[in-house]
Amino acid sequence: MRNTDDQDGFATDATPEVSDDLDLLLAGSAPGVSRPTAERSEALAHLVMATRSHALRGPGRPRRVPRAAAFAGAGALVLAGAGAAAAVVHAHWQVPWADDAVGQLSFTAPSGARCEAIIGGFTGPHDTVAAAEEYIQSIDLASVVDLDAAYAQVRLTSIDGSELPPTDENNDIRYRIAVNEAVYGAIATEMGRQGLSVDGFQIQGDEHCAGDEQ
Amino acid sequence: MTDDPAPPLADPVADALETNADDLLAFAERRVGRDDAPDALAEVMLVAWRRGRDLPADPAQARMWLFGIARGIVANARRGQVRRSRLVGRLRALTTGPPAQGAPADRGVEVRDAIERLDPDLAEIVQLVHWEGFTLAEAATVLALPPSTVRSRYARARALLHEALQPTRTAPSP
Repeated sequence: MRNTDDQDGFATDATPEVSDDLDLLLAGSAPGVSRPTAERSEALAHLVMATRSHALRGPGRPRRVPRAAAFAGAGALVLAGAGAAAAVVHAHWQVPWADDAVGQLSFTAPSGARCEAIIGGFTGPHDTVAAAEEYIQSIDLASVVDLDAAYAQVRLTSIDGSELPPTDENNDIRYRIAVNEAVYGAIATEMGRQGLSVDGFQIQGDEHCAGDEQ
Repeated sequence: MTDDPAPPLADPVADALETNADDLLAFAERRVGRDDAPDALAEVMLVAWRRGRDLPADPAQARMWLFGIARGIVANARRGQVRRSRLVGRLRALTTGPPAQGAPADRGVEVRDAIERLDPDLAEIVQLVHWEGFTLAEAATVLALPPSTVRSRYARARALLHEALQPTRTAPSP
């Protein structure tokens, strides 16, 4: 099944027979898939038209999101803290929309703590909410948002406006804020590209980092 | 002289989806399993319809555009976030019932494990090339990465797999 480009320079390796052997192994490792039949083709054609009707009619979509949790939302920044679950991978999300979370993101805070975040609870103009949900569910969030760039932009200040010292805790808070900003920024950019307004549009989030419970 | 009525204009989104539906379904089945794949495919189609104005006119580019959407949907589905769709009941019955085509479940497991142990960025390229049949240039388009990045990652992946699978490949035949 391998189909590399000759011009890419991978059709030949240092040891051709070894390469061929590896190619065969890799091609043969593809998991089995369902059998294409006339009946299945008919069902696929039906699905094409059914999704067309559904897309034009608008959402009303049941979801299945077994686990979740994300982080803070633009305009309604809520950082998880007390009560957060002990282990990131077993986090129990407390936010009421957790079961309907739209997206999930893993990241490493500056202190080295592994964190997981979910976003959801989108509110605002109907078209924007629907489009934003579709957008988040159609992308690999981690590959779209530039967390380090957002982190560099975030400043953490005290009530008198002075910048707080760069302790591990403060840096982690900055990073969590940056996550929020980056995700919201990515959504806002896409909504702008689609010509949709983000006036009144908000997202929410919850996050858990290893050590939050301490 | 009478003019024949103009044929209805083909819908490019429908054409692209129908042309690539089998491959998109296989892509989803290989990554999220046959139970969830119809739901993931329905999501891909919904997004494609809603973003139809972005569909490339060129069929090959349209195919990669669809796989780019599918990649994002599958990433969420793997996190358990695929939506159950009422639209796929018939398709699910057809995909989960009959025996799968391709390698039996016990073949290729070791190789799949080796691929899974790769960095996800590397594994994805291997899967696109060897499971889905994309060229490296096409994989770069699907992944929205520079071709040079994909080429170097692919080379790295092959080197790692070559090393990881050495015992398998040198084992004597029974």
